Amino acid sequence: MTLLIISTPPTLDLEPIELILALAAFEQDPALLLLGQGIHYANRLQLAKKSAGKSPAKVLAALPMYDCEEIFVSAQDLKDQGLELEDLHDHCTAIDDNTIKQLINQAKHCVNF
Amino acid sequence: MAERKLRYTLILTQSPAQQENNLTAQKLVAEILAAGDQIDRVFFYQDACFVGLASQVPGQGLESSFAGWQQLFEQHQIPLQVCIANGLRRGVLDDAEAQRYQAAATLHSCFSLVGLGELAEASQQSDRIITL
Repeated sequence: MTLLIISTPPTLDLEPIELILALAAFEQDPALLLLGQGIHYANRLQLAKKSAGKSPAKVLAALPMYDCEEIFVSAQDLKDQGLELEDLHDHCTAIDDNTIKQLINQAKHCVNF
Repeated sequence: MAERKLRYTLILTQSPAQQENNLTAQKLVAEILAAGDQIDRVFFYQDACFVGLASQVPGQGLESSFAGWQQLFEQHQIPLQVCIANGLRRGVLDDAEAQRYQAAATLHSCFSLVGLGELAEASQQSDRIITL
């Protein structure tokens, strides 16, 4: 499993998400972990960053079509960002620091953004 | 029995203007090669794609990030891969894309434009992926 860890806020072109979609399309079994400001990728209220662009949460909605059905978010960082799980995309699961460590240990590769 | 070489892929995401990041990556590549291991590719993503521009001129007296990559390519033939989608958005075009979009080619010959399939291959074949 390749774990994409996003801890930076959404970018104009959502390039980190393009990478996870590509890994999923090539059946590389990717998983997504959102930390810190990266959690805003899954924030339902996050709008597109440019005209005619797509909102990050809408792009994330495509992940289940590629069998990437779970998006992990840090429970502590979710709280620190002033958000509730209900504010996020449907497929998000909040996990504690120990579970994050386990997830990282299980991954063959971790790619950080 | 000879030890198996470790295979590495490096992913850079920051602009070459963040010179330290590029220089650190180049030192890491040199150390990996000196240890007898293998670099499968250096993949330039997001603003790191700007490093492939042939038209860069470093400020007077400044060390260029580009020169270090060129040297590594010439000495070790390391694949220096610029993400095609990210590159095109930033005006980094090879001859084929320049022809397709009727624009000027801007990619230096040390670099190649490739798709994200290369990173899928990296996740399968490389022992280590390092993001810088």
